[in-house]
Amino acid sequence: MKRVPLWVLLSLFVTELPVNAAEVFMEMQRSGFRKIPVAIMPFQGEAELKEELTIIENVLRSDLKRSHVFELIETRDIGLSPASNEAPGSSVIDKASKAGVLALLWAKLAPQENGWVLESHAYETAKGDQVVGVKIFGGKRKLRQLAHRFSDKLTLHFTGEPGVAQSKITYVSDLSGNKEVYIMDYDGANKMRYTRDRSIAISPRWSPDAEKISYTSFRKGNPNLYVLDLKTGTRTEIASFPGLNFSASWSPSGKQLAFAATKDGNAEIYLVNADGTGLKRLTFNAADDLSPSWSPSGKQIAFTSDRGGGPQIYIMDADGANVHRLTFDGNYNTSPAWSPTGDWIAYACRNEERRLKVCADRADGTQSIAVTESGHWDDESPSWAQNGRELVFTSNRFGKNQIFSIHLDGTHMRRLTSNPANNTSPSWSLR
Amino acid sequence: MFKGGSQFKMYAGSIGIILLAMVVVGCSKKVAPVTGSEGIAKDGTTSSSDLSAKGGSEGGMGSSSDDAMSSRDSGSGDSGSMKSDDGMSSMGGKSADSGMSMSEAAAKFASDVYFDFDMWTIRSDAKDALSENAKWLVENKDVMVQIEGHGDERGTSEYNLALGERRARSTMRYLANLGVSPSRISFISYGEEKNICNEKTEDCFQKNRRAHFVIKK
Repeated sequence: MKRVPLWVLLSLFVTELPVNAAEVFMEMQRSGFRKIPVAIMPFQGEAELKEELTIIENVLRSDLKRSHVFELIETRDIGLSPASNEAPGSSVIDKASKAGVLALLWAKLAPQENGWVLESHAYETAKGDQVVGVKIFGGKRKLRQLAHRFSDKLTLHFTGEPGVAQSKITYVSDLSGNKEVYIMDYDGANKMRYTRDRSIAISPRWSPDAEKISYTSFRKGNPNLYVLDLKTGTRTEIASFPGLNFSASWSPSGKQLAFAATKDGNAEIYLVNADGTGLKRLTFNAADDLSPSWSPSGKQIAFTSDRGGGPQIYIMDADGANVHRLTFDGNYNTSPAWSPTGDWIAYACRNEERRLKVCADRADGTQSIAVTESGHWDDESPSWAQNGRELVFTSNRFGKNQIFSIHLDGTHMRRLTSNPANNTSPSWSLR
Repeated sequence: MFKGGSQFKMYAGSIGIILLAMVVVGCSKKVAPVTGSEGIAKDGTTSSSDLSAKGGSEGGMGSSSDDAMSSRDSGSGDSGSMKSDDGMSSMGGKSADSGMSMSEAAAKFASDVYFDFDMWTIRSDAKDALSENAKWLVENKDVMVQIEGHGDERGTSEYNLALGERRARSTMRYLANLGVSPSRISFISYGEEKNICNEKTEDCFQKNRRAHFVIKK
């Protein structure tokens, strides 16, 4: 079967053309779901905090727009022009309710020692009840984090799912002249270099608790596998066999890493404890086996293998048994990323022009879709948000490699990096 | 920015035109030897080591705090370990003497060996050059050589690392079959990480799909 964008498949099954493909997609995942209409009331704070309030409101606005959960309604569009920045009273809430707004959002910012406190509120308009009321504390330079936390509180309250607004993306950038490990917020803000190896860093990957990052570096010459502990600031050498030690993937428990090494003559997949002990070989094949990615259950591992000729995605049990092939479309499918929700495996697939795009297959093999559009460029290295609905990937469609995010249905593409460097190999944290 | 597929296609179209323009301009960079300027320690590539935790004591990644990321840039203490590669000389002249001068060696030694797309087999156009290399290496028994495997930008970076190593290994095997002791040859793959040509042209892609020789004294 030829891969087609998901919205094309969907439109075959709905009589009415969908207004918004993302909405239909959402409904497909959780039937009956409608985006929740919310409106932001002017946030309260001292006059000299105007700039800070604007930042927080804008970040929250952007978070809500990017989420698959909320539909942001502008107060001016519903004739709601609040005269003050006080907490919304019953008449305002009532008016919003009549205009179809399900929840009104309002917050109050105040400085405190070494930082801020944001009193964040959400009022369900139907009953006028406050449904979210929380004090969020943050350091001086964590203004954006306050809004992200508010947004995640809202997502959790209204969907029962944790939001992704506080998540981070680690990636490789050659901005300093060498390929180093960087970290940025999920919206591309707060980019920060993390390593200073002055070498080549490859494939940084978040641990499930987002406290560690594994990566491969040529810092000692040989490409060895390392784990950075962000809390303690230490680096541990996990594997330093002659040849490649690369493409690591954390087990969902965070206790083990699957990775590929070429020490036995070609790339094979090994398991190792996160402290570097307990090596165990999982694949035994004269072909290259690499780029493992764990299923969220921890029971299976997807990986790339060219045992059938060109590289394809295979799945095996976590002990190496029961290997079966997932992808059959095209002659080059690599770098699988198993979604945190378990249902999809995204990967880089090659088109007829030998260029890569992001594809995704259902883990049970029943459906294959193209996530990004084909072109004279490469889209690769997909990595999932925790909600399993959004991905980040690398693309050189505008020249140098940059990092983009996109919804699984191919909509809402957004560029997250735009400096003159190459920014590659993103990994999205699960918290 | 990108609201949906149709707008996106417009972008795609204009990018295609830009790419075409780039093709016309072509790849202006000459093939230059890779000099390992990124600080490859000379003792790292061939030494074997156990798979063991080093206790995370390499230290100096920055002080621990819950605001850890803000203190990174000043925190690294391991810049001292970044030696320049004084033990490695890239082919292409300017190297110190060792019996026969390295520039002579460079003249005798072949330039890079090139590979077909997705392939790691030695092409017929590389065989004469590799025979010359082997002959020279047999005559100069004190020379150690490292073979770097490289790939073009197409393909995923991880798979290209594996592919680069296959190219280095098949080059090594070819030399070994011609009588060069494998103990004198080491190899390393850089995949698409150290490309010498950065245009999106077939010409450039070919220049990057190479095995590159580095003499180690």
